[in-house]
Amino acid sequence: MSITVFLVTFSTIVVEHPGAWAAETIYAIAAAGLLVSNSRRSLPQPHMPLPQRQFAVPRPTQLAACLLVVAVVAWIGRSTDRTGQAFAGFMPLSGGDSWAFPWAHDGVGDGEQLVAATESPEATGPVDSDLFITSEEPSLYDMFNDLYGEPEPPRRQMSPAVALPSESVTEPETKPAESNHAGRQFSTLRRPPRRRQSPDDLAARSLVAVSGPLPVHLRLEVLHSFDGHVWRTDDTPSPATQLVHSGDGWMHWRREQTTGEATAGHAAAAGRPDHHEVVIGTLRSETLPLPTRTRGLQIDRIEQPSFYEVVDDEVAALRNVAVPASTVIAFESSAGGLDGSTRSLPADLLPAMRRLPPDEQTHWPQLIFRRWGIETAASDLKSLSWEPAQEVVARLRQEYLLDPEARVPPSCDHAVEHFLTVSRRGPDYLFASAATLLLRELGYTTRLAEGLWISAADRDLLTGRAVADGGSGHLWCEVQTTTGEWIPVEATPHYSLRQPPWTWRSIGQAVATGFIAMATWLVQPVPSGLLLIMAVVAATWRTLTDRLLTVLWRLALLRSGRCPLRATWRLLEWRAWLAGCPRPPHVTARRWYVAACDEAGGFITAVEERAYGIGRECRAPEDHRQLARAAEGAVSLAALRSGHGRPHRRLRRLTLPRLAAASMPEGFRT
Amino acid sequence: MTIRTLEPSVSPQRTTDSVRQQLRRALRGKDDACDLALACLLARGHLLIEDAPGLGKTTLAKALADLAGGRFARIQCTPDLLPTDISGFTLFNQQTREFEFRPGPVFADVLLTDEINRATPRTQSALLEAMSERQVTIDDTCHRLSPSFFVVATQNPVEHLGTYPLPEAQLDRFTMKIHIGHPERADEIAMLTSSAADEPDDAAEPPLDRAGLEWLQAQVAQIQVAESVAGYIVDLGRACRRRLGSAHGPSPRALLAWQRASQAWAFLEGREHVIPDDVQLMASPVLGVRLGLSAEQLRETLDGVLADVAVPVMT
Repeated sequence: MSITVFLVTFSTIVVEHPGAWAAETIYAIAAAGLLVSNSRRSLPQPHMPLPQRQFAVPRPTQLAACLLVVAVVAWIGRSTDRTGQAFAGFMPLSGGDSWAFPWAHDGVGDGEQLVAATESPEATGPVDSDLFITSEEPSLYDMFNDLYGEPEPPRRQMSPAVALPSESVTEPETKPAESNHAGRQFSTLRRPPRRRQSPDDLAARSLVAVSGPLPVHLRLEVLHSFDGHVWRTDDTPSPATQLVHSGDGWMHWRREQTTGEATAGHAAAAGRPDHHEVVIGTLRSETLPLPTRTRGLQIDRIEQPSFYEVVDDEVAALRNVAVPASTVIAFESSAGGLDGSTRSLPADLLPAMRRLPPDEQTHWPQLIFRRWGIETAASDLKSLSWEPAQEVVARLRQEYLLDPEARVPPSCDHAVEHFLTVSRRGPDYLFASAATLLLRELGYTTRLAEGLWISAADRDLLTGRAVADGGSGHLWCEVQTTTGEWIPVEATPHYSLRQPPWTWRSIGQAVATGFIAMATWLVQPVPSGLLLIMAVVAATWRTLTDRLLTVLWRLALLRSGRCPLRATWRLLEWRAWLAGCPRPPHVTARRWYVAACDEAGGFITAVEERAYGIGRECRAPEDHRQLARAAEGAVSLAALRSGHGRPHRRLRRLTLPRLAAASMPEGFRT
Repeated sequence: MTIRTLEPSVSPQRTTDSVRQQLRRALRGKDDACDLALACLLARGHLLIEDAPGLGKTTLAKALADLAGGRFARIQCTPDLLPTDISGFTLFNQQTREFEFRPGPVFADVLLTDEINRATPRTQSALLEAMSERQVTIDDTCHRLSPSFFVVATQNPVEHLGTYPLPEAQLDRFTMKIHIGHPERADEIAMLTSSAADEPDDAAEPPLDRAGLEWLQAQVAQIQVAESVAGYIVDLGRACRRRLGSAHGPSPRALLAWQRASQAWAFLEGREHVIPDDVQLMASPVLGVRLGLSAEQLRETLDGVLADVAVPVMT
């Protein structure tokens, strides 16, 4: 025994194969059973052994309790809130980021490595380490190139030129200034990404580490115009927001209204804000990775507004300097937005109306709206409702396929049109682009946002921190509201927005919306007809089946011999099943059916004579038919279901055979 | 109605009903116990009555003995009781100069063994051969007992001082064990207020004689047991062995006793064949005497065993 325990323990340490784990589990169960058996055998024996219980089918309540426990454990394991983090300490896990070391059975980055970060920064979080100093720092566009592939080079257009004689050519004395400032843009025409085979690339590089509610969209850039292939920023952005110091070390957005009044920006948004802490890792960016719907931010002691530069609406950067590694930025933001599971948006968040001028309108979105049954809003409105946007998002999420490998062919004229009408599949930037353009055609004020998306699954439950790597790059759409705030719209399947917690009001709205949707659906002829048929069948299927069985029984009565008795017996068994009280196999016919209907006694006696008597004809065939008719009338479906004597209750008491009362001692009689 | 002389015109059912009513009069309010005791007698078995003092064990045993007619003997078991006090012995007759056999009380038709667990196991064992084979062997001579030999034993489960639990081999000789229990309030009032005239007349003749009892027992033996019902008994026995282990499960002799008891119950119910209800009803008294389980364990075991085996039904 001890040798086998040693071998199993050793194999547990060494072997990584799931088959070995299964074998070890079986061994553990068998060994536990053996030990329990030996322990039981060593106990002093009573006068007679206790009855050995065989395997018993668990009761529904036990089964439900087990399922509840499993569901709770699964929920805790899946959840990303503080409960999950607290329970994570009970399990021998130390997190990590899909990185494994064969000998590190207790996880990655424990102990000294957690402090020193000597091997992998992504598993430990950014601390003062040489790794961060020597690590490459990718920019957002480096990351997109790795994730989506390099953009297709622009086509060279040959233009006619006239050759000049050499004497006419004069060399300039000074070279013209070369602009090295890279324009912020994103091309939807891309080559497939290169797959690196180097083992070093298997370890993801930690761009940022986030603690706080997840999922979260960290916005880095915003793009406005699209020429069919490339998204670009505004040449002269005029942000209507600015960061102001609110006195408590926090910087908050301040919005300049058209009336000249300044408001406190989004700080006045309803509900408690979510708090995030973003720690910059290897990301090289001047732009701060702000969560969507950010209300305010704080970087340690940097409280001077002059340190910050507002690049675009709700997009901030450190002035003329990249955000250093290990910088910790605290954010306050609001949850919510529009995605596939959006319950409702607050009433004060109405999308702003901005009808496109006729020269910017295109033809293909109208075809798509017509196909989807979406009507464009009238041009004289100042605000829109969210329903058309919800419909567009729902269509994109349900009818289009997220395929990170799909690419738009360089020959097509319009990448989004090709995606929407031809390929119907593509990476997330095509979904975001399509949503941005379609909503813009509907009158919404939209823009494309670039950044990182960090899901709840990325969180290390032990440290409570989620790490974004190169695969976290993401693009999404944003819609401006009448208050000037930009609301994220997530049209890509499998991506989601963080939703605000349930409130009584939101629950009421959801219930009301559900009722209205159900009522709307039910008043249509086909669903209502189907529902009516289903209701009729559900209400009468027992009676209908009983009628059919009764007709078959009447036919059997015409035959001679044992047929009438046998057919009646089967009819009673079927009726008991239809009535919801089938006779258990271990209960005798007399106990069951005579308890249900006393008038069935004569028939049951005849059945017993035929079943248990030996070769003696006690009754004439006509007597059998008479008894069968009497039993059929007495043990009717109605009598079994709700007839006199409450047969259900009487029968339930007979589920276990009643033992002879006189044979049991006082106090133990059944 | 008292039936002493059996006539072909007298139906066995009427005779049985008469005997049953007389037995029920002897023990008020305990119809189930009386019926089970009568079934045991008609099944040619032996009965063990176990209950607290004063609940009518001896009364029931005496009433049963009176009903059965024939020779009646009673043994009050004590620790100094010897086997020869039960089976009999041989002694040398000085006058005839020969050994003479003096039969013991075991040679009666009905033997009441009161407080059987107060006798030593050695003395208890004197009944083994008599109960199973209806004969005793003394000094190399086999003596046949009455064909309707019937042992009614009582024991008190409460007191343990000076008692000897019956060994399993002895318990297996009994067909069933019954408990009487306390009577209902109305029955106790009726018992207290009944006049002496209502008491059973000891001098009255028993309703059955030995021949009548043997005739009824023969009728019981002819009750039909279908193959499906016999298979049901066997399946129940095997299920019981699976639960308790083959060493502690019912023996084939127990299954035979179970079948005979079921036949007797069917006879008392006026049927000519055994139905599964009879088998289920006889499970507790028949198995309770030989499985050696407590009342709660027995109930759990039987509930499990009966639930494990499907009842044979009409096919």
